Amino acid sequence: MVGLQYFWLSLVAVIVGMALSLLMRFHLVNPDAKIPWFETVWPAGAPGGVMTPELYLSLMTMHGTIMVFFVLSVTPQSAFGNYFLPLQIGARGMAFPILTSVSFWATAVSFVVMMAAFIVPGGAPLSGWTAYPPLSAVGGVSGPGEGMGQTLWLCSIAILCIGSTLGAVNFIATTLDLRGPGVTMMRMPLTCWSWFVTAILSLMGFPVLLAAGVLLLLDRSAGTSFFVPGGLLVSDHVIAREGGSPLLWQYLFWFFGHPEVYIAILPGMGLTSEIISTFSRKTIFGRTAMIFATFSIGFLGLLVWGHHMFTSGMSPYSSIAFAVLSMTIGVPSAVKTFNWLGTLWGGRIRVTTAMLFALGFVSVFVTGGLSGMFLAQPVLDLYFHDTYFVLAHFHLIMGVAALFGIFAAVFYWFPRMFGRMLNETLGKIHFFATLVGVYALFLPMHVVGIAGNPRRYADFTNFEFLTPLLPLHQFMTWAAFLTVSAQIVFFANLILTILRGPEAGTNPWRAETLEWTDGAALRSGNSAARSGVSAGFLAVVAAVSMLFAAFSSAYVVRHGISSDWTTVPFPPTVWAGAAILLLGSVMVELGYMNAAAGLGVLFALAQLWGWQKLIQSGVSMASSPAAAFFYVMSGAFLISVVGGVVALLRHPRAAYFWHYLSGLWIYLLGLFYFWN
Amino acid sequence: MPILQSVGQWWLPVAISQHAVAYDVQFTRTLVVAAIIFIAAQSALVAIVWRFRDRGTAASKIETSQSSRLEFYWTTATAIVFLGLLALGGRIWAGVQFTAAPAGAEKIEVLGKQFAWSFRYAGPDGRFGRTNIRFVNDAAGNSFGLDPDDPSGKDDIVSATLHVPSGRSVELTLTSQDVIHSFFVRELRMKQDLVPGMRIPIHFLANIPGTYEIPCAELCGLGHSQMHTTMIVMPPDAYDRWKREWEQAQ
Repeated sequence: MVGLQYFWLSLVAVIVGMALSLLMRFHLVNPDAKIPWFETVWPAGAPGGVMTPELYLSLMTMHGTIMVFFVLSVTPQSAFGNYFLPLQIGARGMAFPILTSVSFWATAVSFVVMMAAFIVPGGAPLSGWTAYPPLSAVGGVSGPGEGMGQTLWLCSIAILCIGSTLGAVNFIATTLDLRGPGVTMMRMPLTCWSWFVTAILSLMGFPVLLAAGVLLLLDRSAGTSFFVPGGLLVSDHVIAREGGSPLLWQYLFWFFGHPEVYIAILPGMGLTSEIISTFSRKTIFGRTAMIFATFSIGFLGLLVWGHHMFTSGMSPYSSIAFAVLSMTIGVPSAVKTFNWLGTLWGGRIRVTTAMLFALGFVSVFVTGGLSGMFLAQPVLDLYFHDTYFVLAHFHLIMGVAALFGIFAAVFYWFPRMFGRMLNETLGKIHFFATLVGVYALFLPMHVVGIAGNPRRYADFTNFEFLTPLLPLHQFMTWAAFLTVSAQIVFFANLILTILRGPEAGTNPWRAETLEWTDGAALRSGNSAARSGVSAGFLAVVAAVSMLFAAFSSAYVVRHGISSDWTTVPFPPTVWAGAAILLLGSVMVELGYMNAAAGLGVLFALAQLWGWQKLIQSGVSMASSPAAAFFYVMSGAFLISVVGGVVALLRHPRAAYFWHYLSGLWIYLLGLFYFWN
Repeated sequence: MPILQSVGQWWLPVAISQHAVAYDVQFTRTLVVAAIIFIAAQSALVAIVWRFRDRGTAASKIETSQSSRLEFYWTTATAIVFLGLLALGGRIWAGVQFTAAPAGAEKIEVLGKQFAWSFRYAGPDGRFGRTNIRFVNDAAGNSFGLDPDDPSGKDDIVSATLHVPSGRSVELTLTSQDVIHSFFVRELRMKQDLVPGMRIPIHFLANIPGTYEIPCAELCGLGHSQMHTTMIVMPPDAYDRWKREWEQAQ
């Protein structure tokens, strides 16, 4: 089952990510320690066993990347969602089984590529999980790991984006089209609602990150300058580029990056609601309000990316708009907390381990949310931006809260997944040790942030004001070791239970959602009549649109600030291509699917020929930003056409997608022609 | 360092400008609100779980009564608190971000590069000389790449530490030669990225003479944590003397 494959993958990832964090915490308080095996593992990164700053920064980059991309956005959504969404809505499976496998294997390949960054010359990249250019864009001259390591990082992220986008399409199609009889949208469990909204966020965000990643890869390898401005001198190397904008990356990255926070945490919110309801023996208080809150958190989450950029040089006026929207997110978040308390009120509360983690989720969600109140105010952020205060904030609200959601899910659903009950005593030891550990780790982290301690420092030895903070850092390092040690209890519990845990009944928690009750009966009556195709195509159209919206906005921004924009003489094949596509649309309407598919192939050939002409006339990616955008966008379009041809041959409904492609090509020609 | 002495440093440092003082007021306000919500929410969570802990056998789920009035009240209340806080801080933001530096402000250019800070003063002619990366020579002290053919650059002062007068407005123009850096003075409660390809102005008025550390606050490469310099706020006459000595030395 793909859900389980995702689960094991993220378990491997979380162990790696956790180990990296311990190495970092150890180094921060023992910067001069000589550890012989460091040198064995990283001969270049730890000569004599002493960790270099570049090794520390690469561990930090990989810790953030692995935790965000392979744990927080994988486990709650892809692992538990793929497993339980069909069960909870009475469907026989996800809408597109092949897509499910493809998205898993894309994620797995992406993870392998990411790990490979550790072993290439120069090691893993050191530019952080945010990979801000120019640091990430100019290659090895800007630092070790910025050569091959950074390239692999970007390739891995691009593959992951494709996998996650396809996964999101699947979730949306399944939710909209495959609900069993009687399972209306408003009657779906809140877990399904949060997976649904999360999938929408993934569908909006990952294509944009993909676009940004492709552009950055080209900046590194094809001589373009999307993000690299002119006049750079990096460690005595003149960078021969002109006119790119480092802020453009930040806009695109955070357009994905902020929704990513909600991708990590929304599933936990949904599950917390269901678990609190089950173990209070009460239905959810304010169920409708909860659905609206989930939706408004998702919607607002798409509009607040600028609050990561208050100190970036962005217009201070737009900061105000981003600040208002960011503060507003606090409202639905507070509504959720009130409703959780309302559900608990008057209940008969059974404190199982799953329930403890759900309650812990509420606790750290509140704590982590409150520091957001500081950071959402641009003026206060002027001090806190890129300090440990921010680290404390997002580790609590995104990391720990999401992890508590994951633990709650494991304890709650383990009987359903493996037919056995996890040990409650070990579970409670694990919970309380983890709770104490994370608060001991992250509460003092706010304090060093208030003292102004910058993040992403490999050591604290160069500033007088950091010295008095060292006792706090030592304490936090101990707390980190405690927290990680507590996870050993969890892993032991997991292994022992799988080997010989007590058998669970069919519904040990006496829950009332379909995965426990009579979902099977519902599923047998759910025929293939509803195939998930129509919503699936809508979702694909949305994802492709986001990809091109990202390219288009980059195009407009880059054109607007450009000092080096020269128009490109388009090959005549682009106009012929429009005619071919429109003819294809007519064929589709007349029902000649094969003819339309043939025209699609013809379009592809014409475009390849057009490219060849263009290259022969000396226009390369590096010639001008207009040429670079032309190659990138027509290339992405070509891939969409290939997808469209395959779809046409398999599904008659792909007709709509074909019309969409025709429209998209005409839009692109308009953009190139009128905005040249 | 003895731990008790350390504890005193575990908070915001001294505020050396009016903006910083206003900042601290807004910070304290937010902290009070956050502390109240924190204590109220966490103790409510524990208290409710304790009060309604199950003593008997768990029955099947009961229907929870719904209350749109409650939903309305707490939605409105939180919106007022959050947006109100933001509005209170908005004035301080406008004060430093929307207004230009007053005329006659001391103009200084700030340059970041892996992994050092440089500061440039215009000299007696009041004009900054042309620069070009072709002329950059860090070893010879020409970190900005001053063009030797431009006479207005002859008297430019380039310093590795930032000297500013107290009680006088200062306008910094921030730029970077390679990657993104960030200029951060804790005591001013200000931070601004240095973005290559952009020239970003900020301004402030420091009142309390002293030496304040400047860390780089945006990940800039392996030496990020070593990118250290200081801002030295001097009484105006000492500042003028410092500048004159530099000018004579050149």
